[in-house]
Amino acid sequence: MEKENSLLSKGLKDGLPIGLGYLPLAFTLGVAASTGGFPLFTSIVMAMLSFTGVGQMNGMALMAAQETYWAFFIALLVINLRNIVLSLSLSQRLEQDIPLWKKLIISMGNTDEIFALSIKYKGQIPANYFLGVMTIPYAAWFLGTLVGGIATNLVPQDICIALKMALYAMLIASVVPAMKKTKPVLFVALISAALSWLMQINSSIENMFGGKSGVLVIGSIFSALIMALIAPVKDKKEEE
Amino acid sequence: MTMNTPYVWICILIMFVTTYFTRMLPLVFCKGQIKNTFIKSILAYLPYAILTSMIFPEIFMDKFGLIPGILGFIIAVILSYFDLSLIIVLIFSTLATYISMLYNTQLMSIFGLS
Repeated sequence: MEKENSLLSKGLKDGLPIGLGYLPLAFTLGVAASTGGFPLFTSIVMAMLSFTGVGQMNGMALMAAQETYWAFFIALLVINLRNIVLSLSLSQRLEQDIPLWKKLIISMGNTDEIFALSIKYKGQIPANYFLGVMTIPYAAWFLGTLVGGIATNLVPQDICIALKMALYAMLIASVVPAMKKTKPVLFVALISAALSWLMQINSSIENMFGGKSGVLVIGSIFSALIMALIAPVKDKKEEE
Repeated sequence: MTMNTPYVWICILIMFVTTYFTRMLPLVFCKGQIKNTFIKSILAYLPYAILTSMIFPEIFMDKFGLIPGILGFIIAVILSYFDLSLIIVLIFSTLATYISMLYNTQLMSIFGLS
């Protein structure tokens, strides 16, 4: 039991920096929600149910555009497809025989950043360690959203506008390190950026693909397809 | 616009389902590894394609203006290139954007954009 507790507190300690990073992020989303007309209660429920900056940022934009349920579902599914990748990798790394209820909680917390940190653990990742890592970020997610929603009227308009950069910076911070490490990822990113740019600058093309969410979906699937054909990922076992 | 309609709550529910189930199903049900290289490749590249398509071109068209957008972008790219922690990247790029917003008119005239 003592060992389990020490795993938990090691996790808590390792998760603290992520929590600190999530505070301004959740704050920004809270401000964005409240300026977008969401009542505080609604934005907190949204944040606690969807522990994801990218999904929430896009979800709110799509709601503001009054997209149909179908378009909303497809766009968010594609945005969240990377979760499948992350959870598949995590499932290979977690210790065996984790009770289902712990797995259900772990699933809540497998965000890009928490995943990236927890896989640095040497050997199989104990469930309690992962639970420790996700605790402070999740609490920070709640706190940031709450404070952001309350403080919106106190924060000057300029700062609210500038805070939007934090959301882009979050996206940049999750792509650039991988672009640096592998060439195909660099090319995928370049192709996808170019496609998104070309399709959105021309509004008739944008409308042809069903608006902005359609453009994002089609452009990214297309660029991932091209790169999967040109440079399929090598099996790590074959390399060894 | 009030965001407390049934439409909004249904969207929030869709958001939850797409976020949670994509994380939960593989974790609970996947025992073995995916063998097909093509599928594996698409799954490996798709995240980065999606994330970048959400950055461009919006980051240069947002309310903060072109030059603040470019400056924030450059700072964020440089800092994350050197693997600095998320909070550092967020703070400095947002700060760059905010400061250049304050001097936007001067900056615009320097670059001959006004």
